[in-house]
Amino acid sequence: MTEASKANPENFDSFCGYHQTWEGEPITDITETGPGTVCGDYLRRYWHPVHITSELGDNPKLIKIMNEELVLFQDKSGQYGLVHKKCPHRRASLEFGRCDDKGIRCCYHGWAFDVDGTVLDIPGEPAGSISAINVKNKVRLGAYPVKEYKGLLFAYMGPMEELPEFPFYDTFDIPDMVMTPYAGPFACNWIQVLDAIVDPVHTAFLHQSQFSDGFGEMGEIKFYQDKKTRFFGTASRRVGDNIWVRVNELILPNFTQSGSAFAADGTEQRYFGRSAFTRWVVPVDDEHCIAFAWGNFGERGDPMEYNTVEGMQLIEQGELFERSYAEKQASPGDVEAVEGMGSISDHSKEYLVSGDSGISMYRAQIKKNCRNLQKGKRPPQPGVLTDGGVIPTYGSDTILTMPQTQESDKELLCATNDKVMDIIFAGNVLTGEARDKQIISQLKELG
Amino acid sequence: MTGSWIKVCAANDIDEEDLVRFDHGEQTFCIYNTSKGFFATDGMCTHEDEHLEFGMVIDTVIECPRHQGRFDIISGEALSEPVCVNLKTFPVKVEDGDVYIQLA
Repeated sequence: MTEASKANPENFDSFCGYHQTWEGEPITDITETGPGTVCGDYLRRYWHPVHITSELGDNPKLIKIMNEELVLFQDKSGQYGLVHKKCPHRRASLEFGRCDDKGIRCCYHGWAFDVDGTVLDIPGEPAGSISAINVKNKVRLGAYPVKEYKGLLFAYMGPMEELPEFPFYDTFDIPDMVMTPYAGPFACNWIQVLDAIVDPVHTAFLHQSQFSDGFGEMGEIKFYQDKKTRFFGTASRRVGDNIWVRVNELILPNFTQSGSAFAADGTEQRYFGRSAFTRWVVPVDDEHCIAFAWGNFGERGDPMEYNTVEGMQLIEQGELFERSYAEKQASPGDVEAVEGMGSISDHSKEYLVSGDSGISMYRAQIKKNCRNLQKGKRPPQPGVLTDGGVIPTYGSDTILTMPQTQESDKELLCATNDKVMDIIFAGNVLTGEARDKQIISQLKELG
Repeated sequence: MTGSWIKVCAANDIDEEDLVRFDHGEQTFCIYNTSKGFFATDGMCTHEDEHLEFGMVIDTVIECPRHQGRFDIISGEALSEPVCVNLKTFPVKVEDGDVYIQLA
């Protein structure tokens, strides 16, 4: 439908359903991630998790990432490979091939390929045949570099001359933290899932009864950004005599962390408790995505009792994934909220408000980064957030004892939020345990 | 009576077809680098309480990140729904590689 019909004042009368039946449009600039799309090119400049290591068996596995059908495998020497689905010889699918001592071998005519796509063997061609020489020199199977880290397999699907450093976040290595990989599938576009991390209003409303009473307190909401690469949605909540500052963070394009899911309920002090998950929202195709993550357990993360398949489903979305329709209606989680929008939301019919500022900011920045890339400007890597080495992150819970002193609590909640953020920001000059120690001791001085 | 010129930043601190936010006293502005030169407008969208800092500069148009309302950067004119009140503009000059804004 046209702009004119949107602007038609009849759309805003009471009982105006008839006038509102026009279809909205998604923001295709950021929803489409296939090869050759603007956002697809942008996302292909970053490392993304593509699979859980332990769920890859001895056979090659067909997967789909950003609308590309790919075959993931581990050869018998231990190397991981991520290659285009079809054999460059006669286009048979390599998912039916077998893992060799080195690389993968097609089931159809036995062509063998190394993990970098080089042709290693062409059965049936006499040694020295012109064809064999030409193939080995000129034919390559499309391949991408893979890196395994703590049970997740990451891939870089962009041009090799732009290969970025693998970003190493502080939460990749917190002493005594138990990190368990999980994957949460969503039958909708990646943007719908990503939006929630910078949306602290949904945390209090959708999840009001799923984690703790304190979770349902709306509190004072504030948004911050850091070098236009990191976006925060924070909530400063009153729970009895305590103030609970929960920091959700998004590092572009798709890295997310928050506070804990079950370790904090606002009733007990907590100082810079870390995120329930260290997580990436990865497009499968334009109508599906997977949240790949580690659930983080231990003193600074969530309680060990949630280190189970079910526990991590609760962490990911407040409810179990497999439920009856009646259960979903009774207590919807993120899956219901975001899949209910349809597989690709009609963004042009949204009406964002001030509580959605985090969403409008980060979406606009992704659009800008995409356009800049089209103009030849490299998108910033997460490494811009540090002077080098480990990237400090902020997703956290802090609970301070600060009784309400005035009838209106708003000022104290907002000021406390700012103070907590200032302390966490100031910690950036340090790294690792030294940073944590400084942040925690300064937070303890507040209450 | 004309106001004084206030230094904002170096001209090359603003990418082409982009903007920076500039806060001065109680006021907040956006300073743009476009194909037609440097320009300045009020920082806040005239529709709702949203800063244009994260808006998208498209040639000489700024698009608000919240509802995608558009303004002409040079004239401040409101160009598309839902914005209907024009954006205030301010004179800008570039001298010795620095950008200055003139405030009334």
